[in-house]
Amino acid sequence: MEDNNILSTLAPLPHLPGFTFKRFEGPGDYQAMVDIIMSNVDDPNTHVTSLEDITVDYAHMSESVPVRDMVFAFHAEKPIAYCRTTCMWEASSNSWIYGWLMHVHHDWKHQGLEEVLIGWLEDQALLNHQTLHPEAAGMHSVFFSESDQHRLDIVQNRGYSPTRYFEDMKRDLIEIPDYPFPEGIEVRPAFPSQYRQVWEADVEAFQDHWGATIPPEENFQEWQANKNYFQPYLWQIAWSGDEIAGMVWNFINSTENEKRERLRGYTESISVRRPWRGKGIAKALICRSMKMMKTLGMTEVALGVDSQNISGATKLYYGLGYRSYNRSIVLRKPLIE
Amino acid sequence: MNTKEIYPINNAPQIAGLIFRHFEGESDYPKMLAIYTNLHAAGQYSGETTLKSLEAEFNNLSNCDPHYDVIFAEVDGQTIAFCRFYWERQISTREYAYGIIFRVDTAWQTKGIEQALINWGESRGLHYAATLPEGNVGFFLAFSRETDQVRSDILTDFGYEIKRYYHSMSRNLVDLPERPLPDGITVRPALPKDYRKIWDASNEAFQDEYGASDPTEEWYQGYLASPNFQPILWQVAWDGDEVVGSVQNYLSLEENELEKRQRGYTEAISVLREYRGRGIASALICRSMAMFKMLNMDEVALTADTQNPTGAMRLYTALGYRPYLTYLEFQKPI
Repeated sequence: MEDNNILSTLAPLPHLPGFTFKRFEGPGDYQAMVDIIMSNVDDPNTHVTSLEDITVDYAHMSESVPVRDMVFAFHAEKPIAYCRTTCMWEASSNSWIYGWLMHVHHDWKHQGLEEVLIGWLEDQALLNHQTLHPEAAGMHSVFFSESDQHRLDIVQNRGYSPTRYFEDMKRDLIEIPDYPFPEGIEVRPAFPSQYRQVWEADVEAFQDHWGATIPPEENFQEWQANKNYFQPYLWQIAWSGDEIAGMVWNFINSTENEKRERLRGYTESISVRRPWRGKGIAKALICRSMKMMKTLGMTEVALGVDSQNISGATKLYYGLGYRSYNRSIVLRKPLIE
Repeated sequence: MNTKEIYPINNAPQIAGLIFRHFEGESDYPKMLAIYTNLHAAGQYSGETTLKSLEAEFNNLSNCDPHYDVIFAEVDGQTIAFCRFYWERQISTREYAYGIIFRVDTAWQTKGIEQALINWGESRGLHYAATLPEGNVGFFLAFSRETDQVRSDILTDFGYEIKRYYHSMSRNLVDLPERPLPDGITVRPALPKDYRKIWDASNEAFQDEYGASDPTEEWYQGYLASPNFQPILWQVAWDGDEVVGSVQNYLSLEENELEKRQRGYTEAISVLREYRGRGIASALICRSMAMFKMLNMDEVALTADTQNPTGAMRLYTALGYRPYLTYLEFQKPI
């Protein structure tokens, strides 16, 4: 979006006595964001981050325009919270989904900031919708751990309804099951010139998922930017000739492992394309991923899954020894009530 | 470009339009890569250089100031060769080595450009040596593939002599040997807080290697920035909280695509002196092979000094590695 359009679409800043509010001003704000997030590092649901991660994430961002969509809260000139509204197209519901994220410094939680920031996020999302997609349908949508009762209460009071549940699952790597690949399937790495094919196979496979969005072209670059997640040498890809049948995008976040004092590998973005489903490819890929993680010295693997996934993914992971350790919830409400 | 800084070279060959110039920053990386790509196509180079690796190398040069210590040859605006000078102080002998890295595009070889570049590199070495309190001491250093007869002949004509042979070795990942770790030694992954410790331990171990030089801070920073810095793949042996050995594995998907193979590198293999002879290196290498197999690689490779005093060649051979390429180290006293 052009800069001269942005100014006409800014929702008024929030008001709360004792606090001041400002929009995002540029990379100089990244360190404050890291500090706010990491003040909550004792909460196991806090996603460990660093200046490097934030810098990479904000260098490639298709879901928000930070100078328009982000607000910081200050107390005595010190940044203590920030939030950002996001926008993505969801094919299955034929509507624009306005999500948000919000981080409040540990010392300033539950003192009224959450409510005013959420109010602002909704105002800005509505303004974005009316400006950019006035003819289309739109929805507010949020996602966080069920254990955050305070946040759950706020959004439910504001009219959001629980819509979908996701499980975080993990298992140890002591005894790893062994499932073979079906005839005609070969496992081999993807070459860099094949990343586009890998990306498209994933987008296609996930179209059958609840909440699937159509990623804009910029996402292809975003995806490759953050080296904590994009680790193509750890992928396990099942090929049928030159076609991708299924994949697991494994990754290891060493910074997180250090902070959390654990050795966890993520077996994520597990997908099998339609023509190859029901042949045991996912099982074989996951078992191979577990063995790989073990040779890399990891002691557990983890993943997140939509608990109502129609392909029975949760059951599959359960059968492979994964157990739920956390549940997250998606709550939604119409953009205009 | 009207701001081009021309470098006068004494013995430049008579080639119409040939000039020598200074390093011009990141715009030179694609030009260097183009030369490497042609050398690769001609079988004179392996595909381990990428724009990313050049950027990491030039952002963290050790004992080399790119403004003074790198030159480029151009003909009619096309970059056709370059030369980089660096110095290092070898640990075992405390001697100064003056390294000359020169690359001439395939179409421009054997026209006298190599000689001009070597001559320039030596002049940088002499310039540096003159500033040393010890006076003019040390030797010039350059490398060539054994199969690159032209390059070897040019160096020989300049008075360089072969001092050492290095083998690049590989093995497939079909039947993997297994070697246990000795009692009391554990393997666990490298976490960010350990990187420096592992670097220091491997430098300590490499002090005994022929040609090892004093590690510098730039070298460490260059190592962190290199695309081959992949600590997730390392195998690190610990005695309690002490790092006693490591294999700093890496792989390059870009190189594998270029070379149409699936290779992982089992490189920078080191064990601290007091822990040698207990099978730690063997165990780490075997674990590395098993790991690369799970990463769907077909082979592993490394480069080793054939006269390594710790018997590394014997170990690699016993584990199934076989030489596929020999590099020659040439030296000439200053």
